[in-house]
Amino acid sequence: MPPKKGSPSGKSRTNAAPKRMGSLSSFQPMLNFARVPSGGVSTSSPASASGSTSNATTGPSVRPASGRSVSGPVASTSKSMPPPPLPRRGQAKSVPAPAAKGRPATKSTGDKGKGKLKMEDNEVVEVISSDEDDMPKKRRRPAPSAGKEPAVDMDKAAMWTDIFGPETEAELAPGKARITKVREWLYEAIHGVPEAAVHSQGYSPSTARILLVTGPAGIGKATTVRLLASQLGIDLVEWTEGVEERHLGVGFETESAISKLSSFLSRNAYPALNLGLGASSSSQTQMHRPRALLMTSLPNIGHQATRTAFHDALLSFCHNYTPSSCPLIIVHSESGQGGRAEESWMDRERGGYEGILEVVGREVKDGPWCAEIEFLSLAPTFLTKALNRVLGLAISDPAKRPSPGAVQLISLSANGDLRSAINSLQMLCSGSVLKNKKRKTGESREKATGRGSRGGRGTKVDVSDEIRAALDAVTRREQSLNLFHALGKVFYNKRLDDPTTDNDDQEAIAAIRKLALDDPLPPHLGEFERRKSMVQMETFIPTIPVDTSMFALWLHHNIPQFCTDVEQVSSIMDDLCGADLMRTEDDIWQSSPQAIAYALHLTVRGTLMGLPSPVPRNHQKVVKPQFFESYHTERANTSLLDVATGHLARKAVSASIAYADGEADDGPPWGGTESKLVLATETVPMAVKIQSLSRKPLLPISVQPLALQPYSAYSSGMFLGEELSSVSRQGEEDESFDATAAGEDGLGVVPDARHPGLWDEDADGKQGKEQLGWLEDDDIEDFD
Amino acid sequence: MSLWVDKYRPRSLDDCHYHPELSSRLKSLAASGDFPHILFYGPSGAGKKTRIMATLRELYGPGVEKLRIDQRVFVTPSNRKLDVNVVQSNFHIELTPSDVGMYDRVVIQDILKEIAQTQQVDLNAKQKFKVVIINEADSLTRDAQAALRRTMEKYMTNMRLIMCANSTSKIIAPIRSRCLLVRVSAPSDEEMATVLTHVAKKERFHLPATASESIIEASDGNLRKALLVFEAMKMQRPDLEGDIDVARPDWETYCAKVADMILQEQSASRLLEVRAKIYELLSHCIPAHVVLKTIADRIVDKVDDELKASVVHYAAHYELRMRQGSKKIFHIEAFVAKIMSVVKQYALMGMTEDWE
Repeated sequence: MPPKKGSPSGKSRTNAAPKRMGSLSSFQPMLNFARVPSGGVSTSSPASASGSTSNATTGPSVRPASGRSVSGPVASTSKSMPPPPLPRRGQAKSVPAPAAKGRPATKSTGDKGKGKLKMEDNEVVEVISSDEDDMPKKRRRPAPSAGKEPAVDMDKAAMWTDIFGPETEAELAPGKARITKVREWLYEAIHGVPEAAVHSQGYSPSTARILLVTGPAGIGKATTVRLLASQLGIDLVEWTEGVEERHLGVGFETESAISKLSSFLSRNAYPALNLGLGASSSSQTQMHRPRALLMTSLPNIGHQATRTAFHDALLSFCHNYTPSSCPLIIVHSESGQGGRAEESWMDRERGGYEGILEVVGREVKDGPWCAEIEFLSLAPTFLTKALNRVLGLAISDPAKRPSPGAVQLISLSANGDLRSAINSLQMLCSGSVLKNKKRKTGESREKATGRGSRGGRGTKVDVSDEIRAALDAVTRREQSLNLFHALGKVFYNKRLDDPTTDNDDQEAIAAIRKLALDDPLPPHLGEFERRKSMVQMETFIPTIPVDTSMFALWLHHNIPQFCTDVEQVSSIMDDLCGADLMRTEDDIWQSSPQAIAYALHLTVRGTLMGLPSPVPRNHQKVVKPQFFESYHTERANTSLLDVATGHLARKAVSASIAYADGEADDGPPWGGTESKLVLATETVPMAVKIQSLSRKPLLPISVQPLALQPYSAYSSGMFLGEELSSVSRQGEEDESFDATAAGEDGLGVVPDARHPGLWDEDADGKQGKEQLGWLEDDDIEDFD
Repeated sequence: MSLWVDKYRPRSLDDCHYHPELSSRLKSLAASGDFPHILFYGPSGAGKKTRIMATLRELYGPGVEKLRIDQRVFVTPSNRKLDVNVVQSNFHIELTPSDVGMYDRVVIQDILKEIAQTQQVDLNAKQKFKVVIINEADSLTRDAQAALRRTMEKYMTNMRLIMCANSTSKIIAPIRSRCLLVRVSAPSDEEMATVLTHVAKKERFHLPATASESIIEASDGNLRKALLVFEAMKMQRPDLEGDIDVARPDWETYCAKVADMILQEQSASRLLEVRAKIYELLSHCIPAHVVLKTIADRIVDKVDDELKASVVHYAAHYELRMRQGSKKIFHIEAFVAKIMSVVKQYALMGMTEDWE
């Protein structure tokens, strides 16, 4: 096939593509950060080539995501692609295209050409049932023709995140170590041995089956995987959820999403058969290309049944894996962290937030075949670097770029989310372009507001008020303060006329001063008189990055160290209690958004009211609330309590049966099951005590954590603000305190009942299986 | 081995050491053949369940001793599976529906229907009906109680209910009126002393009067607690003579020490230390209201008379808030902070805050 064909056909399609972007569904994929070079290897090429928008019956739900250039007859990307690691043939010619930003465009043109050619060749390549037939097309964007103003063209066409994805490994935003890890894994999974050990003998075959790439959203997880895969010459077959199921109409047998996924996994675990006629060289190269499965969207694993099915599918995928199968890569954004303080009923019923354990299931996670690489959120410097690169690609004229300060501001406010940072950047730039235009065309109208002139000054402003304002309008409003920043605002309780004010604050102070004075309080409320706070609630509240109950927990946990008097703590705690009352979940009013908003106001205002002014600064450390840890221990202990109950009940029941059968004369009579409260406060603590004294085991060793730690006057490492320098001294004082305490109050020292020898070790082994029933985490236990 | 509290539990109504008139009433009820639904209520550790089981033995003979533990699975309307452990014999079934929280109605309905719709097939059985024992009836939700009310009438022929609760106040009136209310009051000090002596005799040692008194004083009319404490003390100090510490549950000692911490120093940093202790207690499944109450009790014991009233006032105030709110730690800590500031005010100025 003559490779040239690609470009003309591509051009014609260029015009067609933007039209389709109108619909929301077609816009959706554009938001994906990663730019998937799309094309026709395994997609239904006829559909895309003919340009029909909806082809309901066939269409790929699975699209190969990279490496198209190899199999396709049309060489598309040789210019901008990194040098491929494998020698490749038949693709030497590149389409003449603008080198810098033309790459994605050329790629798409290449695809089209290929698609068409394929159709002509009648070459069928796995078409997997699906509903997103026009997926590949959506990914395309028109090629900017040379000489046109690229920026203008670009921002209309697509998101920069899609267009200017990184092209070499060096350009990837995440840290080098993690990229290397992903790369090594990929290599090992495909070739069966680690890259380093290729030539060494006797290396045991790799068990790499599933790679979990986790981390916050928008930091380039999927991009990294795609780029590395294409570098290693691996075809990615991507699973995408079907959304247009319903349009299939009646008569079609609808396959449930999860069964589709299962079949996707089982079908693709095997290397593709060469269905081609074997004539074309391209199909032969294709046969040798390794493939990997990529999942970026997971099924609804919040749903219990779906999750179970998903776990089963993964497990069988692991079990049925053969050396020639394709490994699976799951890219998953951690969600749910920083969410609700305690899981609500609904959440717990669904099994809590999606930790990685929930995603893949325990068996897979603990098996040898699953590796997890966790990406971290990006530091602002990395963001700035990446943003500058994108900017360099997007706007060729340095004069038109936003100032470095503005870029820095964006990267600082993005919370490590590169995708959102690039989006913000694009918004900012498109804004300034618009303003430019306005100035040229209709300045008269704009003058009234003064905006025209400001915009007219162009993009060359410093990080001055103008840019800040623009950024605020474009980005910052949606962004949030860093949690610690928000907490700090409250903790330091800055007020007007504080003796110590930093220079940075001058601007803010001036703004506060401009506000109208508060009415003076009547005399009987004199104790509530405070100087004007630098925290303006209306602007502060929306910037809090976590929800009300979470924020309250953080405040609660750290507030005492910022107070000088216990009275202040007491008044703050009182308000936190009041806020807590408002946002319980039992009735409609209390769980309403208004109640929650009021609770937040009460929390913050109460805290500001109670804190001393100025707050003494002695290097207080803000730490994570202990609440969660305690809550989890409590839940674990509750299930242990069930184990203990089960143990005692079984013993009693068997004694009772023995008595009834006349085997024993004086088995203890059955006294009925005891309530949780009695067990937790009376039976179990006393049984622990008695067994530690009598050395006769009563309880199974597995419930050992139920025994309280011996009391010590000093708190354990959890404790904040305390220097840990005096560990040894601390121990000594401990003892002496205990001794004196014992003497004074006659309570005695809490004995250390955690000695393992005292516990009923047989019990656990004996009951192993039985116990499962009781071990079941009783998540019904009320958390009210 | 088993604990004394289980070992010396009376097997029959005749063996019970106190409330003889109640025992004879229950015996005659069991003999009459016209056994009503019964609601046993009374404080914890008074002997309700012991009497319930003794009554069952009276009704059915030793057959009720052939117990088995089953795990039953119930399905809620929302398709959630609930595992409930039930203890049953051929003649009765015992369950604690409040274990499943808000889904207790499902459990109640399913079990009751199942029991009620099956006839007693054992021809030798003394009674035609089966007995369903419902523990912690006072923590049943309204829904569950309403479901109970209906079934109580409908399936009277095949089934009798015996419910067990600490007080009748949380049980809806229709149920109360359909049941025979039997109050099992806490044993008096003398009655408890009898029981303790009985156990000592069985264990073949002598219980000195001083030890007996201190145990009884420490256990607030809770016989279970008294026996547990007794056994622990015996293990600790086999002769039980002289001035002897009462063996309390660890968490009680812990709470007492926390209370002492509060009284020793009133400052924000001390509050942080107290918080760590409270977290420790809570994470060991000690219910928050019990923690608050125990700390408050200890503080009341220790502070000046003038402060006692306000300590109790704030304990009540914050316990109510705690039950309404969701994060226990906030409320316990607010209580602690408040007590600290009250104590501090009093120490500095010799006066109490006007909390009314």
